[in-house]
Amino acid sequence: MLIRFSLFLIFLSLPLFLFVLTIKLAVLMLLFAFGLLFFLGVISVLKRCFHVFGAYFSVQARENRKVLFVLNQRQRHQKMLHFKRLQLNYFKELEREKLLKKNNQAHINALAQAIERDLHRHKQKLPKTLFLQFQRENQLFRRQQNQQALLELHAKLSTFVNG
Amino acid sequence: MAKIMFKDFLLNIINTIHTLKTENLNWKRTNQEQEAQVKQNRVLAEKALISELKKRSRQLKHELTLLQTQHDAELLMFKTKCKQDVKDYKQYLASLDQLKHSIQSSYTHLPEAVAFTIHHHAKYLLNEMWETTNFEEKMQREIQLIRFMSTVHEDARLYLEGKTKEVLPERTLKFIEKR
Repeated sequence: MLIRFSLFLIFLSLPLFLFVLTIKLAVLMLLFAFGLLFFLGVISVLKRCFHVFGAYFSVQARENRKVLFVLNQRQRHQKMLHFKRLQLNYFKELEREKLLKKNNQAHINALAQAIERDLHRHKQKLPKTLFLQFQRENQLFRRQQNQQALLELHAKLSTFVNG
Repeated sequence: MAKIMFKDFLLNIINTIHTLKTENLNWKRTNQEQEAQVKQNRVLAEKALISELKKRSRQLKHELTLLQTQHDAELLMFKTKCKQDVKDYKQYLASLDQLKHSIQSSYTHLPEAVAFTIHHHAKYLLNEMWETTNFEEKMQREIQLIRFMSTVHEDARLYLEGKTKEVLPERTLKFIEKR
């Protein structure tokens, strides 16, 4: 009786069991397929990397890079020469301007001193306010290093003194 | 029936594979020499290219060393030239100062403003000459400056020798006015 009942139960559950088994098998196969795909992808990427590295470090590529490096160095040297010349020229001009400025300063000072001497020489002929004004202007133009203004001041003083 | 058909189908496939393999083997056997030749040629070409590249690299390195030496020498020369230029300019300024001093010592009553103007004009000519890049133009400016300086010296000399009674160096001032 018990055996019959068991057989009956098995008969009832067999389709369900087969259904579950099919699904599990399908999932497993799908997983296996994806795994295989992934594995093949990794293998192909690794092969490609190996090939690229091999090509990069091959003797031919290395020699080619050496040639390009030397050519690049040559170009750099030529550019450097040009810029170094420019730099030297710039410093030369700077030095020259310094010399010129110093010279201009010395002569402007000499002119201002001469005006000062003339002012003192003709102090009696000049009204006191004008004398002081000329003196102030002379000092101001000397400080400003304004040679044109100093020359005009000198001319003004000469005109005033000589009538 | 289906079973027999399936079996025939499988046998056909296996036969096709075997035929293909045999054909491939035959082709390889026939073209073995040619294939080996092609491979050898490729290896030889690669080796030739590599040796050519090595040679070129060595040659370029040598050229680079020469270029570097040449550039160093050129720079050194340029540096010396720059130094000499500055020195020349300094000497020019000193000779212009001397010019001013000479005219002042000849014309004792010469106003400082006139001496200043003469000196300033000489300096203007000097700078004009210095800043010109064209060689011919530079020469012309130099000639102009020298002519101006000689006019000033001539004026001073004439005044000292008593050949002129003018209070001011008229020839020099005329020269400036012309400009």
